Amino acid sequence: MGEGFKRLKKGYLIDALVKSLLVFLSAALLVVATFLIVIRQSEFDIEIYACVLIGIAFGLLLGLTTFLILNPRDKRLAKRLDKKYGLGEKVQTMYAFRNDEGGMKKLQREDTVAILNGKAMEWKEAIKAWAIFISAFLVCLAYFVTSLVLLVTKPEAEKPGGDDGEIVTPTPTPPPEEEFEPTDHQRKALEELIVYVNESKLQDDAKVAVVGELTILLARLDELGTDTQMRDFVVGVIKNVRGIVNTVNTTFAFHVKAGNSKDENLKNLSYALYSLDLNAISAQLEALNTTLYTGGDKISLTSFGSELAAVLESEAFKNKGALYDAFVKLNTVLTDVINNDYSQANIMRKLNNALMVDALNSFNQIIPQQKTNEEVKTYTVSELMRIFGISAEDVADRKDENGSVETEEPEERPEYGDDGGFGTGDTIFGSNDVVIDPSKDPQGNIDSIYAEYGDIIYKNGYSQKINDMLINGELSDELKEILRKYFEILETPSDN
Amino acid sequence: MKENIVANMEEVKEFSATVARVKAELRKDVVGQDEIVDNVIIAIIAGGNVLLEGVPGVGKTRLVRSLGKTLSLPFSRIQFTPDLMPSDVTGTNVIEKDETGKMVSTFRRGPIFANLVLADEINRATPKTQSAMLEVMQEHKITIGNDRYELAEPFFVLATENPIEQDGTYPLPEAQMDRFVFKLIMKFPSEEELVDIVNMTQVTLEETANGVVDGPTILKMRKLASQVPVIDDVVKYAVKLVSNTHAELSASPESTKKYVKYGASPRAAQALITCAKVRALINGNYNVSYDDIKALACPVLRHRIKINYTAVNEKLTVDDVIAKIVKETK
Repeated sequence: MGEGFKRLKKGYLIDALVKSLLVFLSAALLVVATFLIVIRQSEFDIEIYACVLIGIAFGLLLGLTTFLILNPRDKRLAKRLDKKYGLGEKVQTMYAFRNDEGGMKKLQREDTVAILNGKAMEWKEAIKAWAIFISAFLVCLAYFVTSLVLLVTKPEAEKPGGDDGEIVTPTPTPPPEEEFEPTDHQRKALEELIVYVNESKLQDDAKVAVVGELTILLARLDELGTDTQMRDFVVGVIKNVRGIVNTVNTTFAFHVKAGNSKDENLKNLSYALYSLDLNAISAQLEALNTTLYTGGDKISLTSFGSELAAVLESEAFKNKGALYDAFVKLNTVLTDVINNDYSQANIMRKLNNALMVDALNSFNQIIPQQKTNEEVKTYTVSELMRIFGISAEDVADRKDENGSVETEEPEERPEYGDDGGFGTGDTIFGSNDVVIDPSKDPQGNIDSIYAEYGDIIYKNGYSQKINDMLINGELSDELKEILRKYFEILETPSDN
Repeated sequence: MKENIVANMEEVKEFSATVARVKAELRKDVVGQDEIVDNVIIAIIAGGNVLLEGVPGVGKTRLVRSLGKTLSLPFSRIQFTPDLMPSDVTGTNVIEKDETGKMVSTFRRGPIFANLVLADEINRATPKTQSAMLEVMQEHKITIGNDRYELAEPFFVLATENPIEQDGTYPLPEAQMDRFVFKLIMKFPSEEELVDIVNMTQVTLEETANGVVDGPTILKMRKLASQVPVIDDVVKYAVKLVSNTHAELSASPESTKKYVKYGASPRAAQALITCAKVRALINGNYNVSYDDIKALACPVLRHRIKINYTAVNEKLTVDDVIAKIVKETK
């Protein structure tokens, strides 16, 4: 192929090697630098040497690929030289017939060799091309150095331990006081809460007081400069709201005294009253009616009566509303029965009237209102906690000697379910909970489509279906008995 | 081996020098028309025939006459007319008395028996006479009866077509046109050239070119040219160029699909390579290049492809279409 061709090939080979090397270095530096940045920026944990290895591998891949593309193989170089020097396919012809000794072919070869011998590698042009690769390499190098510096100067996390290496629990510094700025959403939510309470069926005297508390809170929002001030104020409002409603809900006061009574019957009655569940109360009165006096001695009566009298004398409950009056009336009957020598039948008749007529009627009037009061109170408190981000712990104001939190709120009002009630241990079925029944008022709104559960079961053949199953013997005996009692309770007219 | 190379080198040098001498002599009688002269020389050396188109008086006959003198080759001119018979071209047997008075049949050779033949206005002859002529061009032989006569080599026919006399002409069919290696168009000379022509012909109307080469030399040159190497890529390019003149092929370029009615035959690819070798050698190159192929595209293809009405409507000539195809062939 001639010395000229070999010389040019050597020149292009050096050119390819230089470019490939620059590509390799640039790619490797780029990858390593990127890894260093990632390590610095995030918690991504990878060894430095692994980054270097990956960079080298990537660089090798790109560098080799570049070399394969630029590598001056004879045929490709022949084409390149023909194009570069305008030789009209002389070099390609020389290469194609390089082993052919036929007269014209050898002549053509000799002629081309002579031409190529007069050509030299244009290093100026090659170096100009290298400049682009060198520039890219310098940019990658700068990027790498920058990433290295950033990584080295990254502030380290504080290590635990003092100067002597012991682990020292750092003293917690109080968080900086955050400013409180009421949002439009908070104002609007508070205004809506005030409207809700105003329009609710909360007892009038309590309503005025609760609305007053909320109005004051609304007015003072802008004056509460810090988060702590806000929390303290809102917690105070919450406690006040609770106190207001607990004051008018005399079942609370009754329970506070009677809940710890020595007399089990009174204790059970207080729990029933505190639950604000009329069915439970009714059932408890019924239980009292059968257990207080069964004929013979008046021990239970006396015990119940004396404990009740003590409750009635308590400061928290004395002269506090209709409930107190109802119990006074009951106590009068009990005293009469205990102190006089009535016949058994008479005693039972008087007790029945006092419990199942007078007391029950009074409770049926008092309890629904108190239940509504409780609902409004619960909703108001939960809304305040939600609007201002108050946790349950925040509204606690008392700790016992163990440091655990006690709240002013008494224990949760008991709920009566089918796992047993109080008193006789009978299973209490059903409730007068409400469910949504759109058929009740198709054109109505959310408030007008609530229906009592007991009403629903009589629609759509629900009770008929159960009845059929009972008649046709598709149920077990135990289930039949449960259903019989269930429907008996539901079908009993409500005294509310 | 070394002697062989030296001989070839000398032959190549002699080749270029001979062509230069021929051109120089021709310029004594032919003014301008350099491209025509170059291509005619290429065609002669390549062993092909040329179809020459041009209006009367541009120097077609003079070119061939000068060529005959320069090449020291016997020259004949056949003026084709509608009543020209095939035997008027090839020759015929005649009955005549010999010395003894006996009636014998003697073959009288026709004007075709020359090395250089000018077939003037070939499209005026009948198809029968045309085919007789073209058969001779192809075979370089004449068969009369049971006798077979070979024509002397090199044998070269330069046929002319007069584009303006359409009435009473018999256009050559495409299959016949394919037998011409080139179609060259002699353009009307420029004013300067015309001045030179007038001045020259005022002195003498006779051709003044001298013989500088002979038939055997041309045959040697032909053999030498055939040895010029050509790489596969260039051959493939020539083939691709010819294929691209066929609109029915899916790979053909847009220009072909738009402007070409039918394309060139495989003879076009043969002609391209053969003539490109001669051209390369004339230019002092020992190999065929893409430029050689591109330079010969028009002469080789213009009589082998037919453009459609779309091209005519867009006022494109066949040369314009060929140029587009060359541009779109990579």
